[in-house]
Amino acid sequence: MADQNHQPSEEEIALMLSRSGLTIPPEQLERCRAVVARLEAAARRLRKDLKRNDEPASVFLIRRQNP
Amino acid sequence: MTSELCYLSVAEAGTLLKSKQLSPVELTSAFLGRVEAIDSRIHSFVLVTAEEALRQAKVAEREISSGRYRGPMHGIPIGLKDLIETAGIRTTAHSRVLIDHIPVEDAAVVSRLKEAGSVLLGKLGCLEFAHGSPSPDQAWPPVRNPWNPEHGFTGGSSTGSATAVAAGLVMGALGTDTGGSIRNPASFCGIAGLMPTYGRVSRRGVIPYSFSLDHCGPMAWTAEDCAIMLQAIAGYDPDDFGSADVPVPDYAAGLNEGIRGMRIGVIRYFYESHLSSADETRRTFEAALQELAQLGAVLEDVKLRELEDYDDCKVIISEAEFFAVHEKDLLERLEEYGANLRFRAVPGGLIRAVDYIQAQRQRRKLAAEMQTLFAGYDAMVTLCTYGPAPKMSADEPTHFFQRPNLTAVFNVTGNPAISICTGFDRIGLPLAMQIVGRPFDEATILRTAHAYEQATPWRRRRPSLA
Repeated sequence: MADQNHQPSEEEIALMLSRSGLTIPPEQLERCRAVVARLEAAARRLRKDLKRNDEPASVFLIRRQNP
Repeated sequence: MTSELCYLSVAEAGTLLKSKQLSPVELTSAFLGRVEAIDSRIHSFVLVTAEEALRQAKVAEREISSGRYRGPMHGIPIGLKDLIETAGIRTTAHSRVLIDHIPVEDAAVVSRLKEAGSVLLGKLGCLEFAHGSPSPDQAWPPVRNPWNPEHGFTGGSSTGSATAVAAGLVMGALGTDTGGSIRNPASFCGIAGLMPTYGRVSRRGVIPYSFSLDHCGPMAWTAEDCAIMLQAIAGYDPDDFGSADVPVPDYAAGLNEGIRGMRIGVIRYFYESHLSSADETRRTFEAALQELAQLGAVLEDVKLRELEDYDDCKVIISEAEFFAVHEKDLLERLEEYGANLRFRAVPGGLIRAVDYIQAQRQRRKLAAEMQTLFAGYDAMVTLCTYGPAPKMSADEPTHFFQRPNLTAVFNVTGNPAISICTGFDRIGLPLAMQIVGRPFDEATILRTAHAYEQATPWRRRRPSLA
């Protein structure tokens, strides 16, 4: 993630997908690559301004139960 | 006569039905006839439930005749995005993966519409699992834009809902919105589409795309009709973990109060670097702003975060959650998904846990900042899309990611937003703006939208599909 311009190769994507249990034909990898690059760029950028105590929006909110 | 009936608004038809000047059976029959005559050109329906519709219409007729009028949705013919589960009626999410899926229970919104007495005409096409794009390998032909079926992309993903409303094939419809899927097709089809506040309308029984960002809401010809439909479906549902226990106001009550003195923030910078000042969409939006000012609103430019910040946050959350929802099927039957969805969905499995968490942390900040800013405004307005409907393309799985989305901002922050028509481009395709409100203040944006629609001529033009 350190290289802001890193574009994953088709081989890297195929390897990552296989770790997720997915295999897609080589001819389809190119189109996946564009989406992966977009996601990686988004993931790099969205860290800005976060402080140690910033909580995620998905923190569990327990509902009060009636006794 | 058929098209005259089918071009009534929900509000107009409701008045006629209540006073027994119009019969639910007559109205339903008119719509079924129009669907039969026209839908083969635009493919908005994936399933027409004619027999059930007529049965429901007869029940409505008996009830109204005997003085048991349920309210303004009673006897109103509607359609449902095929992502919304219907007991005993096939619900496919427009995918071969669910081609034989017949739910046992109705979604909460379906139960509420049934209680309100509406008549279900059928299930409406959408983008596959609300996330794909038109793909030649799908089980149904792509939905086409009624304003120009040959040109025709309808946006996504509640495509059939927007198309059917615009073409007069249903009086109202429900759609779902995770990044703009109500507002975007509403914009491209020239109708009104409301994404309520996150938690305002139950998602129980709506096939999920992204739990954190999914909304269900009304799509209709006018903002007033959206208000009527919202009244029927809004409210707390303890069986939806995202549902908010917040009182539901009477949306019709303040609809005609006008917008004099209302403080409206204008968000121009979202699109300014993408569109020249001479751009038709941009000029049309400026004209709409002038109209709001004429109506008495006080307009002021407002600056939020960069559009990309919201878009990045949305994309990481929605793609990771989509993959989580579909992991089993993606691993076991990937080939049954449309090709254009496969390319989008599969990379979601590569998002790291830490990236997803950072996106959720960023989301909380973005939402909090938005609500702080809203203290100074009653509503905000911006464009809904960068332009009119683009040409239909069957082979573009990644275009979705190429320009920051103007609608996803408010999925991230949870604010309600409505898309309404602001005119037409030089080839007759609709243009639109988005009006955004404070959390749970749908009433204000419906009032603003209604005032604008009443003051402008755009609701008097329909697609010529005859």
